[in-house]
Amino acid sequence: MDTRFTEDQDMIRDAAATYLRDWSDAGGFRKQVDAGTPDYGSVWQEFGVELGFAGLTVPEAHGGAGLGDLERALVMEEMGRVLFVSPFFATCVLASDVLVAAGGAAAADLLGEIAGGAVTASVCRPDQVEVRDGRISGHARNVVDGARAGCVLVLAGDSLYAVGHESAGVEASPVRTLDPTRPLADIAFSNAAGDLITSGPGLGEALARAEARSAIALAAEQVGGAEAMLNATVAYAMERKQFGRLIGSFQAVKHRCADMMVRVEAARSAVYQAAALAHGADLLTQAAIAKSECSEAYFSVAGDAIQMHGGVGVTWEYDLHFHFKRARAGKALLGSPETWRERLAGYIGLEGAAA
Amino acid sequence: MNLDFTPEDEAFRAEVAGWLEANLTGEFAELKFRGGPGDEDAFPEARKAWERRLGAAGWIGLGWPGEYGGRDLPLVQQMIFNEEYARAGGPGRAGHIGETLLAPTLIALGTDAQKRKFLPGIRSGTEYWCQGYSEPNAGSDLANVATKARLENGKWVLNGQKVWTSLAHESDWAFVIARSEPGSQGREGLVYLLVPMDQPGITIRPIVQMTGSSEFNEVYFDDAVTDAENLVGAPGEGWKVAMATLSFERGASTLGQQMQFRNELAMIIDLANRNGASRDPLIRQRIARAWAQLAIMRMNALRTLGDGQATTLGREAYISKIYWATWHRNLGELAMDVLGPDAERIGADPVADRLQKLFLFSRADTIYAGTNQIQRNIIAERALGMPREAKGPANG
Repeated sequence: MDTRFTEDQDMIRDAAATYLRDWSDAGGFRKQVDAGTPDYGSVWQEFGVELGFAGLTVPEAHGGAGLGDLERALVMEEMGRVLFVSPFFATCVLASDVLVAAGGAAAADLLGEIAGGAVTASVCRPDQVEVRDGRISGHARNVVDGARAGCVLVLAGDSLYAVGHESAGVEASPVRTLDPTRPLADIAFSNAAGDLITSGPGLGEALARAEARSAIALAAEQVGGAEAMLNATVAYAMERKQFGRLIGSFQAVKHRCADMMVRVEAARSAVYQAAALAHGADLLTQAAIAKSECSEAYFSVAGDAIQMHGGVGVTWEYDLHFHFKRARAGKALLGSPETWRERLAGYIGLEGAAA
Repeated sequence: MNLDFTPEDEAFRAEVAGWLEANLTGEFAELKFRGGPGDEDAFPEARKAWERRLGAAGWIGLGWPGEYGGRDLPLVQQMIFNEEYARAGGPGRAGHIGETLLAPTLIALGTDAQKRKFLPGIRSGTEYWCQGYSEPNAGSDLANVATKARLENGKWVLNGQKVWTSLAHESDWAFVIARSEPGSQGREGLVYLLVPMDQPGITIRPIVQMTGSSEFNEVYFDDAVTDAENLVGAPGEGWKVAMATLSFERGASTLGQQMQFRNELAMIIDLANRNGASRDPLIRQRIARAWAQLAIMRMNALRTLGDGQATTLGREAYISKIYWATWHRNLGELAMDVLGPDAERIGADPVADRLQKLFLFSRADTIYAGTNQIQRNIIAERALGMPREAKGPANG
């Protein structure tokens, strides 16, 4: 039992933080958002390939760094601070976790391509999906990075397929979203050719574990975002004057900042614990704790940050609203706090599950 | 970071659990799950006998150095002891103020003679301590202490009043901060004295709380005396010593407190399953959230303890008090909502009685040991570096 990070873990966090700080200073998410279509090319070449983050949690046997959920959580936390816009979440969290859970040779091949930065990916579960002779038809909504990912993993019943973005019969339409930092798309599949990754009755349970691991990674991103909002608020309160005083000297402001810090640190404890235990039997419980509490924390802290900034807090010019919007979107992604708490209620022995 | 336990740790856990199972029986069986916060006036004599049993078996002073009769156990095993103790329903520790607050203070700052004189009684569970800090005009503003101490013919003579003194009526000794330099203000001019409670100069009056029970007291000093050598630190250093004592509150025992919380939450879950409240989706959400936040509390405490070598407190340490206190107060409200209309009935059901006490006593949690408002000041000023509150002139 040791709650301190190892030197390696500190190094990984520092390497990510250094790149992300430079990225942010060079225009960061604003540049990506203003461009309408994010420029993943250079970002992924530098961050994913050259720095090697594309293969962070891909097993070494498949060409990755073979690191765990905790290392990834540290990296996600740093990404959250600067609202990093990149293929990392869809590719190295959502798709990678599904492939690791699925197992098998086809999944291993794809993981190898992900680790090398050759392919980006995402995951979807189309409505009313039909598969005939390996050809998929159906419609998937709100697919993260759905218009950009080179490969889309399609969940259809007990089977998992990989479908190339350029394949015939795949039409992805970008969705205009409140949160512009995590692009979504709808994807229509009409007789699209899919490569079977795996199939069988065990897939559902494996995917539940994949979802839990991805939820922990997202929770870590939310902690980073929440802390960025706390830091911005304290900094603003220490420079803004009213009534001849720093507003940060008013107890009403101090106490709100203190409450924000309580939520940030509690969320941090939740996510470190969950990430450190993600390899074990407690994964689903830990994911429920981390995803529900970190989602709540980020949203409320981002809201408080806007309030504490006063009028400028609601302007487009200040970054706060981007965090507020990402926090809102993240609550609904990979299971809402209410959904996870209802699951948790079952895990801890509350009888009579709600219908 | 690695949250797994070693085989040695697991073996120690089994040893603790086995001992508790074998010993929390017979005359001690009725003490199970009793004597915690809100219930500290339960079975005082039997709980002292239990302390002596613990002491004889070497379960007191686990983290103290061997030269003072301790076992020098690493933090993780102290934590395991506290968790297993609470899990087994070990009664509220009558000796916890001596063991977890005074003893570490003496080990760090006491004289050799003081260590020899006082540590064995704590270690064996035969001498009990209370804390004489708060006064009617020194609550949140603790440095406004007005109790006076003067050195006269080789003895310290005390006059004044303390309040909110837990377990004063069950204690042999008190550690007291008092003003030894006439005219001094705030943190200056204080002494930290060890004072015997059984003497004509001390009067103890219990305070009846909203629970109907009384665990807190008023303590009056009218020419109360203690020997000159019972001064810890130098005259004028009382504040520094008092703050050192408070810093030990963040010890491994916080994990035992959390296990008590877990027992309470388990009781609420069991009740909800029995009375059907578990089918209410909103109750389910609240219970699940309480569980989630309790798990967070544990990790937060582990992070705090793991940083033990650091010279400055991490942010996680600063949130501990307000987080658990608010959580526990909310738990009391949740317990009453799970009870439903029967929450009103007194004496009808032992579980309801426990939960009513929890509901009422937990209102004190967000007040003692630094109110939530003081905690927010501390967080804003010390952890976030925001401006300090302006001070007015000393009040009477």
